[in-house]
Amino acid sequence: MKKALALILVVAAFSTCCNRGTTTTTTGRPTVAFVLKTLNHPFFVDMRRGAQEAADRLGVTLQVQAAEREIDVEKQMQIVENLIQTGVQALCITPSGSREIVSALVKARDAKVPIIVVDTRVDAKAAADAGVRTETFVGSDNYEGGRLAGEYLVKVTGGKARVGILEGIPGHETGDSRLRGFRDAVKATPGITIVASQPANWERDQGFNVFQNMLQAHSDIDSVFACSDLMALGALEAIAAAGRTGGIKVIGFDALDDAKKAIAAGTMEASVAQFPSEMGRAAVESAVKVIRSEPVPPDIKVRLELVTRHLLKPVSLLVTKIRRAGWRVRRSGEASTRRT
Amino acid sequence: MIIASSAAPPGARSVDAMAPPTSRAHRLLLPARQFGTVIGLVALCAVLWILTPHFLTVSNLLNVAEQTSINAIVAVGMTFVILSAGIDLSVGSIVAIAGVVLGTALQAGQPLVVALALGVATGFACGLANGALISWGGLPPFIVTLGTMSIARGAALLFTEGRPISGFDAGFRVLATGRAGFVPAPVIVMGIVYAAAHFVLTRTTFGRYVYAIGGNEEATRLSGVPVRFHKTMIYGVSGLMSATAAVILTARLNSAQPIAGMMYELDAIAATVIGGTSLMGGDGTLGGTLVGALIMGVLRNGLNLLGVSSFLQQIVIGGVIVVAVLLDTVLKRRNRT
Amino acid sequence: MSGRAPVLEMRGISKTFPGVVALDGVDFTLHAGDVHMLLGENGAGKSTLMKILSGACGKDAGEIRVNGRPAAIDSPGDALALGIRVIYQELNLVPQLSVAENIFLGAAPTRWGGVVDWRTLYGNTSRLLGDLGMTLDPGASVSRLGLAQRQMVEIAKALNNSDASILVMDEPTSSLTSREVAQLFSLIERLSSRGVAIVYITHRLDEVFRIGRRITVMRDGRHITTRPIADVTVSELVRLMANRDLTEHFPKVRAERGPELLRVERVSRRGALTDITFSLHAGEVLGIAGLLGAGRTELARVIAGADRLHEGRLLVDGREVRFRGPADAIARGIGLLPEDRKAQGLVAGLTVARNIALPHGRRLSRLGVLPRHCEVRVAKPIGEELRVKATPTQAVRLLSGGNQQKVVLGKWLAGDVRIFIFDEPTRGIDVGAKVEIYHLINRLTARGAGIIMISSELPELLGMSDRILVMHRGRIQTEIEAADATEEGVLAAALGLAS
Repeated sequence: MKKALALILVVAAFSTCCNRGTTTTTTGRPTVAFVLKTLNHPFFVDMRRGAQEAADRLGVTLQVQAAEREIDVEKQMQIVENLIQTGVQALCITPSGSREIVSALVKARDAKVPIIVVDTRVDAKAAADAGVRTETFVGSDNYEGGRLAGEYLVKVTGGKARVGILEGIPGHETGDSRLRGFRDAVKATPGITIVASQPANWERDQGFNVFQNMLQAHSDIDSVFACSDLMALGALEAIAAAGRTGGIKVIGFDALDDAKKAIAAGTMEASVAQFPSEMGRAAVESAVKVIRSEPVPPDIKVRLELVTRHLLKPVSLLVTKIRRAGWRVRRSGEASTRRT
Repeated sequence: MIIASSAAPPGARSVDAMAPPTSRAHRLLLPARQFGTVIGLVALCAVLWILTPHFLTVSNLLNVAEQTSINAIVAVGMTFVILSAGIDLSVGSIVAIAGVVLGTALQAGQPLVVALALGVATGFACGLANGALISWGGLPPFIVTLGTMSIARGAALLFTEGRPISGFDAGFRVLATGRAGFVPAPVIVMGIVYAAAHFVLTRTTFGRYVYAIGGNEEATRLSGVPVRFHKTMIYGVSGLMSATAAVILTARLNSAQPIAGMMYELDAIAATVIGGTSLMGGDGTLGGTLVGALIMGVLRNGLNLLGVSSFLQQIVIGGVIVVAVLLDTVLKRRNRT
Repeated sequence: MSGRAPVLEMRGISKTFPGVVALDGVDFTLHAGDVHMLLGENGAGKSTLMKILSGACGKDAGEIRVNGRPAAIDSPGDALALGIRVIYQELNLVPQLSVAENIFLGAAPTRWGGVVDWRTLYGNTSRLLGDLGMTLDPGASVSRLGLAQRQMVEIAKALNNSDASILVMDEPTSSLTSREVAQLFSLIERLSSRGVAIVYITHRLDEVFRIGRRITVMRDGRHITTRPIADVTVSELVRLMANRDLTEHFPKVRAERGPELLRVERVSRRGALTDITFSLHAGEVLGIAGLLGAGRTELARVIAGADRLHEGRLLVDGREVRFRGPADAIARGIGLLPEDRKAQGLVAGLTVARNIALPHGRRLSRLGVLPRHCEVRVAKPIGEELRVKATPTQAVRLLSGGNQQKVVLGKWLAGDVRIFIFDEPTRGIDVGAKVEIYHLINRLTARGAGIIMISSELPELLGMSDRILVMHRGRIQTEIEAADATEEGVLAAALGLAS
């Protein structure tokens, strides 16, 4: 086996000599790498779609890679290392860990690949310590989103609520920021009590179980803030199982399609919408600018929006208008018309 | 690796014609069937060489070796355990808790040596606890290590309140970022670990007992071998290897995460099994495990280079595991008859 | 019988494995109702021949005719369709299921597409068992049956549909007690009277003459002779098989009786042993007789430190010892050759040398490191003394039964063992290897070792022991000087008949 390895190394040495000239630009188009946390979440699937559209429009090759699991920093680091080998000209990345990713970014820096950070911020101090410079950050502010949710809760409950919180995976910047924003927003209102706050690890089934347990312990819970819609949807099921549908106000995050349906149906209160496809688009646009040595702003904010049933109302009106035009939207409209 | 003398020892008075000739080199390092995995690795490399110009470069191969090192080191411990006909599902969680202890100690300003010792001792202790419950408690390894998997993970999360511990000084990080000549430090650590573990497995009584316990625990016990002690130590070795991997991982990410090392047990088992170690115990080599880990590393790297979708990657990796084991089984069967 | 075509004719069967000719143009003929003893040392080719017959392995050349018609046997399924049934040494029953379920495994009568018709199942089973003269409860769980009864179930399973015409039994009595053997033999008689042709592979010469009608001897992959049982004598048979005259079947050499090595005082173990007292002297072979389940193996394991004793004490060289495990017993010079060498004696994947050196790791190593070739150095002279037909670096898995047993013996010869406990030392091994083990016993006692020999083969026990303890239901029923012992006397005591 030692021999086999030696053989590989020898062959490798030869091939580098021969290949050196061709590695940098195999095609005429510049290549942009986009490393996502994962691809098994609609959020990142949307982001990829936006990125791909932008790449097609701007005539760049897009290389999208993701770890199997959202929290696998080491795998993400390996992907970055591997993509650097292919000679990409820019790296867009949604860090799985704000600090941990810095080690991978160091490798990109060493390979002189410009970095565009998307969705989750890189820890400023860690980056500075390691001497990593990022070109720009594209994303919406999770803290701000949490605040939005908190303020809305204060408004709809009239400042009196007993809240259960479903957290994401502990130690995860995205979830932590949302949580902080929410807590800060309700802090000043004395009538709002947070009776329980437990992690459900971003997952729908865990959202179900954890919230079911919360209901057992605190039957007086009347509001839920879930750091993601998947967990919120799990909580909705638990509420339905307890026969309390409509009696508990559920606020989620991400505005997934399922969540929007639930909001339209009145079983869910609201969800904070991000626009991941816009993030993907802005990231690739920035990357192309950087490659062309054009200036980019250090921070590109992508809008946040609270989706509530009031907001969906005009949508449903619109749907009824469009209805005549085609059958395709009929199904999504039904839920809202039945309610109104 | 040790290059063994290939001559069969003299004194074979009447050779049973049924048995194939064996030489030390074959038996110790590369039994004939293991060439199957080596050939697989070489073939994989050849295919990637053809498909992408980025694969067969010195920098990329070093990159692969570095990426493989963590799984390869965890797989050393897994090989010991599987050779003894056991299983260790807790390696990933032990990576997490050992890393977290190490990280906390470093941030608390402990000297590097003390912090390393604490981290490694934590992993070793977790492994010994596994082993003690299995050998003295008489519990199945699957259950015990499943429990430890959850306990160690929970302990790591509790200990850190779920937050990663980040930012270490360069003196520690050199374990991941340093290079000797052009070889990255993790690869050197991997080399040392494999050389040492190979020596232990082939040249010490402990190594001999690992095989014997896996081959026939009762016969080994009746031969007067303190089986319980050695089984405990086997899981201790596994914990030790997980902790060693944790050191590299922590240095590499410049962060100790309580959620680190998830699913490492499956990667380590896959590397071990691809490397030809029998899940029934008593049969396998570390050389095979290293090749198995490299196959997985090369595959992941190559699929990244090729820009294969991450969903397809999972299918390919799963397929390779099954095909590798199938190939191994077929070759073994052919060798038997 | 001779007028009709034979049930089975195998002509010129050849089979080569890499490096060895296993069968070289073997002929074998079998008639209906025959009880045909297939004899030969291990490695003579008997098992290979039967594997070809059962479709478990293919042949290189030759022809097989069943009932006069050429038969192509390429798979076990083909053999089954031709009415050929094989009962292997290792039984293939599902212990959790009942007798009836095992017998009709995969062929249980069902109703409504898949629901087991229990009444028909038990009815059919009762009828089948009645036909075969077996008194077994169809509903009993196999896990609760003894070995002999399990073998009966296996036979019933083989005969569950009536077209079985050839029944091959490979050492069926190797783990049975005398009474169980008698049951089996009467079953064989009944089957043969119904026209089933039986091929019976055995190493026990007494059985050959008890039930055999005809014998075939094989040696080195060749057919040596086939003749009626009446035309052959024991010594001739042994000579035919081994091709050497074993002038003395049991070459017992009496050694001088030395000081007491081991004393067992009032030892009890719940559920297995009650109030056992005896002593073993240097130079002595102490035989232990008894039926299966009489507590012989349990006694061996207690003395060897493998199991704890609950009451009583053990003294080695007059000093009381307490064993926490086999290691302690070995440290006091006690070595156990276990009953089941595959399950308890050997690590099949390891080499001969490593098996032999296994108990001596601590002694051979320096700070846990084994010097190069140290195991081979230890194993080589022992392998030579025991005439193990293998190199020290061969995996034990590849060895024949006799050679494997020698390796287990070798483990204790390499060390400082003076008290040997041999539990069924010659089970399932060929005549030549048996005699070599007897000679080894003589050499050991001459060197001042004490040997406890457990055996179910009475001739061996009578021939090789100095004294015989007979056990019955966990107690010592009686102690007999071997010189005065008769098979009948020992058997009666083992059955609990005499005092």
